[in-house]
Amino acid sequence: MKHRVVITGMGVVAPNAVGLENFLGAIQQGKSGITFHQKLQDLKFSCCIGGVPSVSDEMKNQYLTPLQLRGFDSAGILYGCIAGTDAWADAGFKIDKNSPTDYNSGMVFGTGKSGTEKFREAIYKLDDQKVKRLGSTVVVQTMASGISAYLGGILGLGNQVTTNSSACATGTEALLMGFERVQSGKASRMLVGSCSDDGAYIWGGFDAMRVLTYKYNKSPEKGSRPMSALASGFVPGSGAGALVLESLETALKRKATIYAEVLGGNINSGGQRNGGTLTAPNSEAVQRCITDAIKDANIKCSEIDAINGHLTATTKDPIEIENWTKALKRSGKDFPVINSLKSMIGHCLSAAGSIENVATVLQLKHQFIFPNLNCNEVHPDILNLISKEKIPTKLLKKKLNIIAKASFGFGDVNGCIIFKKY
Amino acid sequence: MNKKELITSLKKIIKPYIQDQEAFKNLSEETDFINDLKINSANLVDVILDVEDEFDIEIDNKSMEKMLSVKAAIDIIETKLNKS
Amino acid sequence: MIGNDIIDLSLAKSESNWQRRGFLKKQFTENEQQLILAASNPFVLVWKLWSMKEAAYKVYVQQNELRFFAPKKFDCLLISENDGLVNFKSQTFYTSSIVTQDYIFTLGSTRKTTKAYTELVRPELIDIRIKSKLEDVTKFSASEIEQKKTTNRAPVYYYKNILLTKSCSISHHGNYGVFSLLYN
Repeated sequence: MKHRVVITGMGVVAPNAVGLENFLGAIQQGKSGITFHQKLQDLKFSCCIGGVPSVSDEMKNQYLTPLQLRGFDSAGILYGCIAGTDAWADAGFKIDKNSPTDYNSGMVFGTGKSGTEKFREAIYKLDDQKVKRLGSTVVVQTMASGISAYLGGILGLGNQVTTNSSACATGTEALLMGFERVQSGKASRMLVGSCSDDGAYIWGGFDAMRVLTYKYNKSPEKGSRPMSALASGFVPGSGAGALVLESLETALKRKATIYAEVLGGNINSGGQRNGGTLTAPNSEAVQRCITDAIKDANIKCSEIDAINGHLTATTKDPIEIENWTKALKRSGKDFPVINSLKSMIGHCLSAAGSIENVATVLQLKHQFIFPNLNCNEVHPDILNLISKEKIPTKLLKKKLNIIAKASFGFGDVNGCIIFKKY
Repeated sequence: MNKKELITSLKKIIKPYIQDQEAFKNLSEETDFINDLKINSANLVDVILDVEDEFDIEIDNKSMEKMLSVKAAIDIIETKLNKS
Repeated sequence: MIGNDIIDLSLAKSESNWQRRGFLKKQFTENEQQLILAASNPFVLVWKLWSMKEAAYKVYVQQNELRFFAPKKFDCLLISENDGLVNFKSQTFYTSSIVTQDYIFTLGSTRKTTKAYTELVRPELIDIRIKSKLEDVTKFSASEIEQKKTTNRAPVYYYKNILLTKSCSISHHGNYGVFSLLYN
């Protein structure tokens, strides 16, 4: 028997807001989290803007113990611990370090890299023949699964506890992996999410690839322009998002707040064939991922009220829109409304999918479509596919029943989730 | 510009915003804009903008934060004038 | 903890000019400036956001022995027509505003829902109304209830040595006065 799966808690650390309530306000208001970073300019980056969540020392102390914070320098793990702990508490669970191991609850919490700053510090020490001076936490802070290790201990989870990694599709993949585990009955509850480090050592490689915009260093908030004719590359961001997935039975039994239902989804890969490469998607696979997700959710294309796209603000945005129109067989005025959170917070890389999933679920719960910033001049190729009013630039109050969310990542990997109002 | 002249021009600037004439008459370096002169907090920014115009200086956010008394205002204006 | 602010809109119109160069830039975040400029009635939004900032500031100064003028650092988010969040440093304040043709009132609180008592009165009657309200609640005689100020000049009310208010905020502007009380 397949269990129905619902979302009962969420937490978020985003460049434009930390905490679920602030995030809800920020996305409704169209608040940008993109700022100028002097350090990037000092390091001669072309793109000197980015999205970094603002987390104070006081806040760190609320989530990590003084012992954990000794020699701690892993932004992604910090963001993930805050979002994950918040989501768990939001779902109505006490965070108690003496609680018994909860074998019915697990976690899939993804990331791209972990502890880059810490790793850099360690490498300098190693090259200086000071291996004995590394300290005891380099391994846990820099191993890929550092985040699930830290968070699993804070929450006392006893089901599967793991970290997944699929580039910019990581957050969406994490959700679907957790979804399958709850749906199959192998766990009653899974915390799913993802996080990303920030700063020069994470973003440098993208700057070198020339996929970041360099035109908006003087007006950071205008820099991230998904779907715009003036889009000139993405703006890097960071943070974390977390959601508690739970079987409908247990959610109802404990009278939890239900944010939305996960109807289904799909993960696939284009195999880097048919136009797909290490960094570009195979369009056929993208369309297939969307149609298979719709099949899995057992809905009709016409039932989709809105799309939360991947839409990074590179030249690939029109191709993504084209893939949606082909997969849904809907275009022009018949196309659902579509938005991209990246216009406010940039592309948060491995954290993107889960922060955007949190935003998508908030839209369903509170019945609105957040505005697309910096998109007054829509790319002409997009206007050939869908009508302009499908890309709202102002907050839209709207009856919503089903939203489709997709994420795509380097390695030609795709993920698509179908959320439904509960 | 010496301190006395500074206070005189500052007095001219804040005059339209004060709501306690008595305190204004007895104005000294220790006078507080809000507690003594009862300047409405919504008008503090006007005092700051007027000071910028009058002395042709720019008061950054950090200095603005402290500008709650005659003494603080004088200190800030003097520092900025000496810099330019 | 609570803090409030009231703005007499006709007085605000004559006393201040929000369109003055530098006015928005010095006091409002980039996002707030954009919201204001896109609003159908920017004047009202300017003062609504201002009152949210001021109300949050008044909560903050009751907790911290510090005075300063940094409205831009109080970052406002409107979550519905009347409710908002104001973030300052790592703290979030919850605000609830009432906007009429004549005035804007905002109550700020450290909590999502507050049990604060609020009353709109003529400015000259604020103190006496607070005392008589405290008399109703505590049964101490109003004539023996005294207002004192903390070192930060936040008002507190005492009967002899007994502190009656957990948090008290008073505000007046033009023709309007208001007080909000949390009983001890």
